Amino acid sequence: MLVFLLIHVIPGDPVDNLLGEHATAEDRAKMRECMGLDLGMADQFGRFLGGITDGTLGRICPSKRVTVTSLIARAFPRTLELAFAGMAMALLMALPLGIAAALRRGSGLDAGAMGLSLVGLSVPYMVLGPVLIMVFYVKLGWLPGPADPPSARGALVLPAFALGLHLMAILSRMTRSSMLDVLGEDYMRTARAKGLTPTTVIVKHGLRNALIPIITIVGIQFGGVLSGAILIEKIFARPGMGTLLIDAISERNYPVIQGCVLCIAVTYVLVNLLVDIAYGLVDPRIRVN
Amino acid sequence: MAARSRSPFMQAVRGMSVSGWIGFSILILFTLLALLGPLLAPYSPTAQDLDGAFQAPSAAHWLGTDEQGTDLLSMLLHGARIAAIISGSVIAINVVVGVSLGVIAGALGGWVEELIMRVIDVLLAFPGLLLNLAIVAVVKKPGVGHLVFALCINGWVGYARMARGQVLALRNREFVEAARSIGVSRLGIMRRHLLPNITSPIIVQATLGFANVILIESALSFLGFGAQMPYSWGALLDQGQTYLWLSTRYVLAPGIAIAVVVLGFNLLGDGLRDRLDPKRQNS
Repeated sequence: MLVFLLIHVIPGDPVDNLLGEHATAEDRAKMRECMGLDLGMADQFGRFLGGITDGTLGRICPSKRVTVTSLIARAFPRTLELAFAGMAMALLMALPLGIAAALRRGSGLDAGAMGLSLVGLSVPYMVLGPVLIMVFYVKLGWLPGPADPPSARGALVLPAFALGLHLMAILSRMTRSSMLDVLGEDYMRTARAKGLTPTTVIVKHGLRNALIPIITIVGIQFGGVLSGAILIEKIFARPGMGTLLIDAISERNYPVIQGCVLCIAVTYVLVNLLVDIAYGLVDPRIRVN
Repeated sequence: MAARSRSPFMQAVRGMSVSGWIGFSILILFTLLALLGPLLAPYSPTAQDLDGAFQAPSAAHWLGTDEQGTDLLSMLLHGARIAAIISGSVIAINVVVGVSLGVIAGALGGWVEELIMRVIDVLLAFPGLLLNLAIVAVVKKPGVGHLVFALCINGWVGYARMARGQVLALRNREFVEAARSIGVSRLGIMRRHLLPNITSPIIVQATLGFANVILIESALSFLGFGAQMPYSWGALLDQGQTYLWLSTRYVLAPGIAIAVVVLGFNLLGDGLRDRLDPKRQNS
């Protein structure tokens, strides 16, 4: 309902935007009728709900052959692929960095890791993306860039890195402080005293207990990753939900905007549900409680 | 007495680490540039000189020029003021609205708390930028006011949650019970006993919040939905990206400006948190 209300107060006329200013009055009236703009707000809301229940999320006028769901089905996997690649890259960088910083607290390594994470927190996607393109695509030619098709081999590396660096910064700080809390616990000393190898002590006893706050942050930050993906898609000229949504907003294409926002919000809520389930898998005590 | 009358913010700043002080210095510089920038700018941020497009840095144009021959430094200095006005207003509104609602929810409880928390849940169901984007898109040509409104619609939520959490921890403490037992009104308890005890985390969160607002504002401008001013930092980044093949300087100048200011706020926020959070001081 919030999505519907927000979008319907947009003052621009969607018919103007879709047909251009030179369209005839007859064409306009037809388009208006097709989009349901001649109906009252309550009826339009009914159509919106109808679109949700029949799974189409509305149809694209004037032909009505294309459904919003089919547009989203084409764009969304690309965005999800980017978002998950970005998150994976962030975790792969953040966990070793955070653990190393916690183990060598106060050392040059700790200062370097935390300095790197502060830089990651401060550099916006809109700066990091173009810099990566200039260095690795234009100057060195090592990786594909915006001019290559998104299916090219390695095309995901630069966008995922640009997207993941910000999350990496947040996660490595969280990993460090969470590991620092855990390292002082009695069970860590017991594990060491039992003669376990340092790797087993740190990974099995330390990291597993430190993971809960890290997983929480991953869930909370997933919204940020989806928002970041919208920006990264623009910077790397990748097709996806960001491109679909921004074009739809510019055209005032109501069904597409509603569909995109709804789809992203539902995914966000679902990921947070998965995070809750993951708590139980990582820490059986939470499942029991 | 003099030390006691100093604000908690200044007291915390005095005892900060070196990195905190670096952040504080960056912010003083940013504030000065926002105040004086338009006076210091050598040219108008809209003056065009089509023959002098994409000039390299020189004595006349320290950072060079853009595709229309406009001086980049002048645009950056004018943009600093826009960034400061938007982030300052957004944080001020978010803190006042968020903390008030959070304290009210925590102190009153019952249906009032339930209502406020459900509104927060609804707003949290949307990724931040998406909601901001949907709201700015409501207006055909958004100005600074529209942008501030869009950034405030969900920006207060974090402050409200934090303030409520703090109040829940405090509301049954002895000094609150004592105030209640001598007949201090609910409003009096909130204003004189609860609020002063939760200022430290609010200061830290607001400082870190500035960094976030600057990032979101520039992201919206970059996507073409910001305040319609060609020299806002995000709009400059957007233009710079278009001409990336011709001049990397065009992206780097506003990009570095945003990164340095955001870094400054993050350093100051971290420094203040280390000073103000007793748990961190001990560890």
